[in-house]
Amino acid sequence: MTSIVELLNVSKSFNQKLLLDKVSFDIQKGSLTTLIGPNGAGKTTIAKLILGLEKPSTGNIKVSPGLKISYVPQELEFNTNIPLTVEKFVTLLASKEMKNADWQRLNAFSEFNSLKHQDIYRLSGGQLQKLLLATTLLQKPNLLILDEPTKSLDVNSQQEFYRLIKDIQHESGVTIFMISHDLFTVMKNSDKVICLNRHVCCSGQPNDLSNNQDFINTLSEIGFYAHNHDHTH
Amino acid sequence: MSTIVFSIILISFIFAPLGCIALWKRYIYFGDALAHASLLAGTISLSLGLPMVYCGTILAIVFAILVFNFKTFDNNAIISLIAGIMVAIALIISYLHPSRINIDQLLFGDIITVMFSDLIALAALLAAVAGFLMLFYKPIILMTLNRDIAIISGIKVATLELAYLVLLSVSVFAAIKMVGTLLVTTVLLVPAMSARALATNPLNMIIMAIVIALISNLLGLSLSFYLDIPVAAMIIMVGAFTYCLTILWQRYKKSTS
Repeated sequence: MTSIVELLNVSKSFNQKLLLDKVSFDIQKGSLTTLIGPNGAGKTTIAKLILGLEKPSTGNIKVSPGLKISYVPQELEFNTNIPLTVEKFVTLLASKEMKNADWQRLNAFSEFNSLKHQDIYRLSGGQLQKLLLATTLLQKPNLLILDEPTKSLDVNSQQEFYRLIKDIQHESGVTIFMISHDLFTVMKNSDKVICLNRHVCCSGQPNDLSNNQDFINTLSEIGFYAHNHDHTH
Repeated sequence: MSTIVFSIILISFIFAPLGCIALWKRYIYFGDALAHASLLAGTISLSLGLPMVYCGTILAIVFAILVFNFKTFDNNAIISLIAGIMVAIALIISYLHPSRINIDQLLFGDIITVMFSDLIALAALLAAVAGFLMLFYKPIILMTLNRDIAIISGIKVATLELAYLVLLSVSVFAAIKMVGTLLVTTVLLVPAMSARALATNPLNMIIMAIVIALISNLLGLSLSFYLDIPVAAMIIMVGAFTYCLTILWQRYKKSTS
């Protein structure tokens, strides 16, 4: 497999605080790569660096030329001063015209037909997240970056979400880079897992990492992460 | 009289869509500070005998660029500081030229002073606002919903924001002569607020805001002549009344649905 994104010794500081320290990894074409780590580990910063929304302080980020990247942020904060129905929201977000099959798929995952005339602000966090995910997936980007995509979803919806991802990945070969705390599904669905705590602590296939101490720490103490720094990388 | 009516019509067409975007982008504070800063344009133009709209245009662009460049800091504090400095300079100039500058006229506006040259400037501004909306309607909405998604979609968000701020600033300065610095932000926002209560999509809101602005501004103008009350004040009273009606309508619709 070929790399479509490569980070080489990327560091990022903000207000003299080091957010990322010499981070290196790559994202393989067609894979589902998951980034895990505690709060404040720099996960969203990595996503923003790949998207070009932030520039690295040092190091390089190589992105394959012509790569179509889509992004689903952790949450969308709406200003209720803008009137928007669910249908208008989807049309606006879709970078290309939606076909009949796309609408059907959207409906199957997010109950679009029953929601389409509703004000977008009236949707619950889960409904909105599903809608956003489905709309973005249906645009069939080359690389899809998801920041904690299943955060607001119930267990059934999480399963549906991974099914949809797998279907679309199978059909279009989309590469997915995901930030997640949802460890069970990470282990089950990811091709590669990267543990981050300002630097890359470990990375590899989920099964190969099962005995890695850093990985175990991350799994057990995510959110209250006690990472040991007395090792070398 | 026809010059005054045309100026009100042009202001309605210019302000209604810009007011909608100001609501969506939460630029209300910016508009208010801008109105205060416009005192400087007024005092400079009166002290040098230059047309207000040209002085205003230059200062509007300076204000918009200054605010835009400092936006990484606490935005409201920077806007307030820049506006405060402009008001302070305006007061100093008015103190130095007391015979030339009538602060009351700048604060409350005087629609009688509108000239044909102002109409030409307003018509040019309307063309710029219409062009901006027609070319960038979808990017504006997407940028309002989520800045990051808009940037990733290839929209030059920073350029678009700066262009909007410059247009808003120039429009506010252009209207100061007619409605005054104290009331200009309300004239800008009231039609958009009323339209929000009725509209179901962004385009619909812009069209409704234009219709509401035309009706309430022309009605306000007529009442001001009939009752001999300042135009801006009457426009705002009619606008506020319209807003109350739309809110009542919205509540009625909610209760019956």
